[in-house]
Amino acid sequence: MVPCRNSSVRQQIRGISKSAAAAGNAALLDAAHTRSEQPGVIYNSEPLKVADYFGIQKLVKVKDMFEAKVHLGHMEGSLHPAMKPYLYGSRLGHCVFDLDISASMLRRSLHVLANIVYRNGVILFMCPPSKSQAARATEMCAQYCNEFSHVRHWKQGTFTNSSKQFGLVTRLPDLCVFMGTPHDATVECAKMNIPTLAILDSNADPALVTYHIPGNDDSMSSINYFSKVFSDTIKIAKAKKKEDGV
Amino acid sequence: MASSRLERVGTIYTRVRGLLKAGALRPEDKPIWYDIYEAFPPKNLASAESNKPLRQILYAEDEIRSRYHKEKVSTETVNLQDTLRPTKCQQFISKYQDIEKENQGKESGELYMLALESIKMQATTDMNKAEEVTSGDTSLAASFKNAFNTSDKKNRSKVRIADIIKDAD
Repeated sequence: MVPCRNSSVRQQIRGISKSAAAAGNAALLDAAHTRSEQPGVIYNSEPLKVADYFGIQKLVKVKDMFEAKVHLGHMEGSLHPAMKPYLYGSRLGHCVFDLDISASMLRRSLHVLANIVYRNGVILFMCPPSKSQAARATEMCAQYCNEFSHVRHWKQGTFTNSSKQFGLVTRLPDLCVFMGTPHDATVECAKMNIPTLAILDSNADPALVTYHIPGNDDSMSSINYFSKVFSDTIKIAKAKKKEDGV
Repeated sequence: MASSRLERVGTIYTRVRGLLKAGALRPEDKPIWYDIYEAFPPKNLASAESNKPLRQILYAEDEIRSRYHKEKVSTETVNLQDTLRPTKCQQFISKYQDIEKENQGKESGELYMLALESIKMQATTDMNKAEEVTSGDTSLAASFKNAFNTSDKKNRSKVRIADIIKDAD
């Protein structure tokens, strides 16, 4: 099962809530369904040669991250050993992230996100159903930038068995953004060769995530900060795409 | 697409690279993230082998802060979103640091007592100042205070609860 490359097949992402549909914009939904990758298309490689083609590096400021409480992790006892290099230290038993590292990794992740959007990629925002406080922020984030979101129970095989589950050849997303971990879909993304960006808290297992963003994924202030940065990046990339006429 | 579903072997990049190298995947069919990944690979540092002990974040003023919290039962309400107004403990610590600069060579216990006294003094002067400001007739607090003082204390009811209960019996 691969992202379908045949543009003649009507491409659908069913079961995954389309934020545009929630807004009642049927035309937008149709446009998204028919958004296709052309087989063998040669993409503009200019953005890959420039370090900050989209000018999104300035979106990320350590001060903003600090004010959004991105540096706060869980208790030391729940620390995942692999997350240790991202920590600044422990303040009276609570893990504190090194925001210099977090900011540099967030910049790299945003750059990749912008490049995938520039190449007509489909972005899927996800948050685990256990993290219900982030569900609305995640959906709003996707709605703001006309992308997709999935915040409910993850049905096993939604990616790995999609043609059976949806009854059609289904185009899978080109990048999954996880607003929190653990999520059952990280395994399916890895199986289907879909790159992932994920906000990783100090108790998270980073093994299957492609681009790590170490930071607090529980507080609303932090979730709102990340959703703003992600949706702004996508908007900027789409504007740039329009400007370049690709 | 021929692809391994063993997600634990390598990364998505190494798996797709293998397919491209072996010819199982045509170059025009490679996923759109492939070139992006090559140009901007992840900067991940996570590794389970990190044996370095976690650094403890401690400050010089932690000693007096803990003493202050042990001895003083805090009754103040703190707004965590208010970053402009220092809490009582923060005020105390900055006072302590000022006093420490002025009186070098003194022990920390002595400095602690000096800072406490100085904070108390400041509190009383602040209260007096506030009274002076509100002593005008227009202030609600002042008029209430005046009314309380000028009211005839003798005319207040001298009913005692104990007496009432006794009568009822």
